[in-house]
Amino acid sequence: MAEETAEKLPAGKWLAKIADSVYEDALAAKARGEKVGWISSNFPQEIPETLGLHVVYPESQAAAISAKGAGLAMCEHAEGELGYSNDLCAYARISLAYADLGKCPNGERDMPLPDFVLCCNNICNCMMNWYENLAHELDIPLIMIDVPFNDKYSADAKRIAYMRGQFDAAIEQLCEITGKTWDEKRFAEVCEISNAVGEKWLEATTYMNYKPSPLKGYDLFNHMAVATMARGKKESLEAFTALVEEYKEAVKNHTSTFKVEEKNRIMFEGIATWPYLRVTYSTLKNAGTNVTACVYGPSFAFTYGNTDEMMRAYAEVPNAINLERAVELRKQLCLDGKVDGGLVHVNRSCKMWSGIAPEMGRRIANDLNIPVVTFDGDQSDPRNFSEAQYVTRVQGLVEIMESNKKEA
Amino acid sequence: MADIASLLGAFSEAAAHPSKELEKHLAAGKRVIGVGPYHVPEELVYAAGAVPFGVWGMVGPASEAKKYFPPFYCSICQMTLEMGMTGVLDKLSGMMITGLCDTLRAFSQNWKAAMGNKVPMIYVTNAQNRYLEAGRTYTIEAYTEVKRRVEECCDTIIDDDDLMAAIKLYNQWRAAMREFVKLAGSHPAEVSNTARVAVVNAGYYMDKAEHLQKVRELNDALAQLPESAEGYRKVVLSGIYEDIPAITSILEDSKIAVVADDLAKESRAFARQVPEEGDPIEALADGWCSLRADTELYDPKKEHIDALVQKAKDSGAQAVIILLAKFCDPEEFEAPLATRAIRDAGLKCITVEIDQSTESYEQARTQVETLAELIG
Repeated sequence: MAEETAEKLPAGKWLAKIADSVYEDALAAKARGEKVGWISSNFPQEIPETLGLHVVYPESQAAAISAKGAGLAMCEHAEGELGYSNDLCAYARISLAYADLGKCPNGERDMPLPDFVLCCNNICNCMMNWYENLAHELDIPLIMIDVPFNDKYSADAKRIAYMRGQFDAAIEQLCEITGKTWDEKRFAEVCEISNAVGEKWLEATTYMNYKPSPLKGYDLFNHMAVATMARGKKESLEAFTALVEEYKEAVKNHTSTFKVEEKNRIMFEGIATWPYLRVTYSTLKNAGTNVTACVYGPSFAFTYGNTDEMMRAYAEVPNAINLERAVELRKQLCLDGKVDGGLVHVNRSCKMWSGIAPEMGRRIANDLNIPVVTFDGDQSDPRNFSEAQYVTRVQGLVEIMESNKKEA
Repeated sequence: MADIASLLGAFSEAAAHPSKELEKHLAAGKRVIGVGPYHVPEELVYAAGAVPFGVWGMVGPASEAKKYFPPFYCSICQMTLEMGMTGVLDKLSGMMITGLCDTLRAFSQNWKAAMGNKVPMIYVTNAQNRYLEAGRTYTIEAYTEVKRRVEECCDTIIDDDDLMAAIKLYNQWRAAMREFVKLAGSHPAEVSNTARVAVVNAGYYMDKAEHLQKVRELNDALAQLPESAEGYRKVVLSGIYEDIPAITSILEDSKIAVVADDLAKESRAFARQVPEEGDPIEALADGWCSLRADTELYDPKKEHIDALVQKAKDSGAQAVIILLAKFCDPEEFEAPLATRAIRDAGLKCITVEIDQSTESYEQARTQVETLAELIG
């Protein structure tokens, strides 16, 4: 990307360009005959980045496909042609359909087919089965870093050592597959950049703490693509730095990308309903309700001082931690974001997250004395969402939040 | 035959009345620890002088558990939590829960939240990357922690010799169960599907030594009889579990003989052999690490699919019935691939969705009857 052009772009567009370039660069690498990979969002990207490998992210691709309206067609292919149950994660169904078809219905978000897959099951174990199937169906090698779910509050030494053993084995396997050589100096550089990107991303998300917020929380759903897919790249740091500067200016000038009066502030919990971004956002906006707390910030802010700390960071992502810590994480976000209530997406695709969402919601509501409501939906399968239910639930939430304010 | 009938009667009695078995253990002054699905190192419980008691949910509707789980959830998890929340499991001194899949992970947290210290959780973490030394080391350390938790729940210290003795007993028991599965498959006239399930389920509730003795007696009796599979349709069952009375009846009505199984609650659980020498915790970890070909376990080359096809061929099956547990990710991901491989091998294959809370299995009946007609 030419710096002159990028510098003139608003940060949001710059970030979108970076996200696009991840796919474009991978397509170009594949065309040159290089081996490219598919990688799960919370796999230590420092490994492929250090080796100079181009990797793309099926989760981000599935989100983009469904936001652009092709989620249903891909899910139906997975169910009809391939025989998968519609109980399964819609990202996985879309991804397995793409692996079979090699393209989207209308070019919604094409990416090269992989020569290897890199899986980390820290955010869910479904990932393991999904990637096993990809490897089996495409007859390519699978490298997995297993992060057993942790019932305790923090990752202990045995987990770190297990991660480290797998980390080293993954490097060895990947070098063997691709013919690349590991370079410790380059690894140190990548870690430094990744840390800085993680910190800057997290810093950007904390601007939601200002009241009113200089951004609409839904902006994060767009910007997180770079935090997911390009957190080892220098230009991501530059773009997130620009984003932070824009937020500072907005705070100074009392402007916001949330274009209506911010009457209420809420935590949004769960993965976005990508096929219904417009309706879910406009319902909130029409009620003057902004999202100012969301777990997507810390989810992709991997910061560490050494390799063991890196292992810890990947072992302590939101879905790998116990209920107590998951609740504390959200509560802090709620306090920082000064929220009046919470909206929890009970996402049919995500068994792990939805399985603890009701209790998490209850504890947050109880401990912070705020209303928390749930709605049923799906991250990518449009058949599992009812607009009427969503609108009703948001209305109910808004009524309680406004009533609470009157009483205060 | 009288012998076999009375032996099977004892298994049926234990399987039908788990609470009676529980009371029997308690009356004998033993503590009882619940053991959820699956590949749990329950030898630790046995070595602690307590009784491991299988808890894999129950057939029925969830009500209380719905406070914790959305409707689209594995019924084993829902129904086990339901049992806990309605007091059915109050007399357990602990509950062993693994985090092998996403629903079990969430279940572990919900158990803790709903049950608190009433029935404390003993969380069992295993390394999926069993192929690496790091995975073995992790499992050894994890099992050491599990041992400590079992000791706390049983108010005792587990002796290495007792643990090795438990390992030996369990190895013998699993070997006997493997033998039973074969003999039941070749003697469907004597061992109906209902009886077969009862023998398996009784093993989850009875003292293992007692169950082993009875299974051996049954095996000996069956081995003396000529095979009786003539006229039956030979099928392999694959999935997590089969013990839903409606399903068992449907299979029996279609004169289906289960000549082998690939069920998590049955043959997959009986597959493990643990080394009988060295440090017993390391031996348990080695038993875990040696497990292959299982949908719930990391299987980078999908060996399970080939193993299932091979099992069907080796057992002379005419078809494979995949009993697909609803909302079970590992099974639902693999089912289309396994179905294709089974059919490519020239065998029939159907998928029957099952769930502990499903009220009607009429569609399943039609599926099985159609299969029965096809295989003749």
